[in-house]
Amino acid sequence: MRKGISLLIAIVLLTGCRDEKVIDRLGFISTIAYDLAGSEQGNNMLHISISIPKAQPFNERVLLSTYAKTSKEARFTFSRQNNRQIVNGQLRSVLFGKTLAEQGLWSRIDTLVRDPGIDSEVSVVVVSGDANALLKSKYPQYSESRYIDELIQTETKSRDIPNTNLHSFTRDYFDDGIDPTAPLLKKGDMGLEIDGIALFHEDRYVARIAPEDALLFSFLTGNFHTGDITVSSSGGDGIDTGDIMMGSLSSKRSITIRHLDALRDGNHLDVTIKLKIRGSLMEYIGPLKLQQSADQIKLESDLNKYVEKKTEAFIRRMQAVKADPIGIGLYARSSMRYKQWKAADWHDRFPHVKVHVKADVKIKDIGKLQQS
Amino acid sequence: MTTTTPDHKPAQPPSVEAALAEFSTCIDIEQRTFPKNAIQAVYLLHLVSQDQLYREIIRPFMNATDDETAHLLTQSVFSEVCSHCECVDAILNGKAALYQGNQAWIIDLARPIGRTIEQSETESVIAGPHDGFVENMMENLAVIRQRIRSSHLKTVELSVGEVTKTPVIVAYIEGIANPDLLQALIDRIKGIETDAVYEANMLVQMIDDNPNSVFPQFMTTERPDVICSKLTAGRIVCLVDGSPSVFSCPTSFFEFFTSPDDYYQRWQLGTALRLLRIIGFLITIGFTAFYVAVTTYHYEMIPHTMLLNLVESRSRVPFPPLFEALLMETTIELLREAGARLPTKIGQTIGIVGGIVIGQAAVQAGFTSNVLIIAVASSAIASFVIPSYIMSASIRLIRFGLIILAGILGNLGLIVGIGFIVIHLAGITNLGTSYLTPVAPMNKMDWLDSFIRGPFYLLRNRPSQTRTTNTVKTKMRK
Repeated sequence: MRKGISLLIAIVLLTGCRDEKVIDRLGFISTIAYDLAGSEQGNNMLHISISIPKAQPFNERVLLSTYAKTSKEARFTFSRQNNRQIVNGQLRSVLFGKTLAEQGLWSRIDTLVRDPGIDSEVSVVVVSGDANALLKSKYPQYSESRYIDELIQTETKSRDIPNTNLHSFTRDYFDDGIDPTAPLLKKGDMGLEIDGIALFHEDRYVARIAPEDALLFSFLTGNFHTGDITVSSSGGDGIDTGDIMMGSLSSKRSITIRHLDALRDGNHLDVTIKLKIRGSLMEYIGPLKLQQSADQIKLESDLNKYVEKKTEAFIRRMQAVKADPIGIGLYARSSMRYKQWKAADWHDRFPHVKVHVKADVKIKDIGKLQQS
Repeated sequence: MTTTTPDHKPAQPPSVEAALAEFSTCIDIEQRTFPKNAIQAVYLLHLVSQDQLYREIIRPFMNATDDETAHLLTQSVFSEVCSHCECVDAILNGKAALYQGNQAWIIDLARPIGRTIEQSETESVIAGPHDGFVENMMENLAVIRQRIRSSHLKTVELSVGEVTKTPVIVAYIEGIANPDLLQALIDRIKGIETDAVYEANMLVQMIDDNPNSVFPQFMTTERPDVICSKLTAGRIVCLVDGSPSVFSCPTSFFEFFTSPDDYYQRWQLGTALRLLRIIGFLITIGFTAFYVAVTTYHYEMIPHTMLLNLVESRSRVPFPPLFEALLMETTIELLREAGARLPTKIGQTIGIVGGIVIGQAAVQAGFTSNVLIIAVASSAIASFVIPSYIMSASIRLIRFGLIILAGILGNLGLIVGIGFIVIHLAGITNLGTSYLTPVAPMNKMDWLDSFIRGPFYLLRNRPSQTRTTNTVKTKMRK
């Protein structure tokens, strides 16, 4: 009885001691943009903007912007400015300016990952240019945070950009033998535009894959079941495919590692990446007569050459900047002993690895006409 | 006060004077004297049928001589009694007592009082038998006997209440029901010491294992087909005179979520309905509380497409979500209670007033958010999916506790509350059997006929909770 009474008293008296967050008194950050501040603000300063969507009028938002050393410092400034308590549990995407990304993102992402209120599925996006400016602009589409979010979701689905969120970035950053990637965004004439894929060396942005090549790049990064590709190569480099558009693409990747020396010390690796690509032909403008099977076979072998040439070129570029977004290192690591793996940094080994791509493109469906 | 009638010595001989003294100042006692043969009849005026009274007593005895009277009294409808006490009991039961000198006879002239068999209002079904129990216990027993034509259907007659002396019948099927449980039930009913019992739902509260639990521990129903299925499952049923409810035991918590139509429809549909009721139970118990927890503490959990709408409708509400929810839940309960007390025609008006006026206007006036209206309304609707009215009322009450806990501690409070409910349920016993059968103790065969309604060829065994020795009920193959 006494226990019950003391419990009751505790419940009544302790009701004030609670971390109440009633939704109508909160301002939800939906997007954060980080940039390096210009030199007039001093070194190490960040330019941080947040966007808080408003319920009324629809698609309106509150945009707060400040200069601070850390993002938490910026939070205090924002709290002083906003009438509602600022929370980041509804954060959807984080934008990083290109110059900041070139310096390294880990310390920013670490802050975000540390906060248990932030979902690990928050998108990480690199902006080619000024992230704050991109966030401040008005777009005729939805409010910018929803626009960014939905753009990235749909583009991820069609495999044009990798699905990079806080979790995958952190995982790839800490995992030996793979480096993170992130979508690149830029401000176009009509609105936002995907500007390709950012490749990282550890947490530093080092290279960019152009948006036209994004799907070819995603052949290398894993398996997928849907996607469309346009190929346009008109004989300039020995491959004449004509203009092709292929749909319903599915791709399977397999990586085999061969040690060229008997000791298997991990320094002489030969990597073969096999790509099994299936798709149906949607559009073809070119010299071949595709109703004939001989020409179909020729087209397939042309496509094979095209894919191999392009992807191998990507790999040369990655090796040049010591970035391994494909995760060849993961396969290399499992092919050797831990001691040998630890003997050298993968980033130093990677440029010397011989990588070959073997493509196997098959056109499942060529159209309605067939000549026997 | 446990007794009002003075003790009678068993040997007290029957006499008119004693009988009239017993019923002094009762306006409905009637005494009729036949001077020709010195017969005196005593009976309670409105308990006896006037037709029968005229046919069996007034006409034959009016002009009968002594010899004829003696002959008449040898008829089998008259039985001789030799104590005053028996006479009084008989008169109270609607019989007439005939006195001649020191001798007395009784004759049953009782007329049926109460309504005829009609559909149960609280437990109506679409498919299936439409008769319901009535207030007359014997008629109810007859309805059961009509369905179970077996001499193994045995009854034990008991009486409860020192003043009301309400007859109670415990019925079971010999060879199926567990005799230990039967004895336990009889002992408990015999152990009741109270003035009056009017209803089966009242009786069960005097014999249950956990009198302070909010959950009903005996399944009561007004449907004969349900009671018959309980009997054949090996459960023991109990009829109370004057109550259209009949209860069965031992009862499991999940029995309250079954309805007879589960068996009258195809098994896939029956299964779907049972799952629907369990979903309804979860919605009733937790939906509003979850709304309170999420809007007060866990804004992270709201899908972002819905967030702004919710904020917008919440922003005009002056109260914190906890008070807002309690206010609306109380309003709904007021509506429900008002609708239950009013005749059907006015009840409909209440529904319209409640639904349209309060629902629409409360949101427009900034009294509540429209998402809360959805939460409250759907949990009210979901509560009516539970077939047992008594269980559904209990669950609606628990909901308030969960809302308050959710308002104080958020999702933690919600989980703590649900934890308490589960612990409490696991602790309840019914005649010594576990209330949470077949979850604890686990019995997979029982699952086929509790959470789902398996096809009949799979429902081979009687429920384990009945502790029957005769376990097989179906031998059919697919």
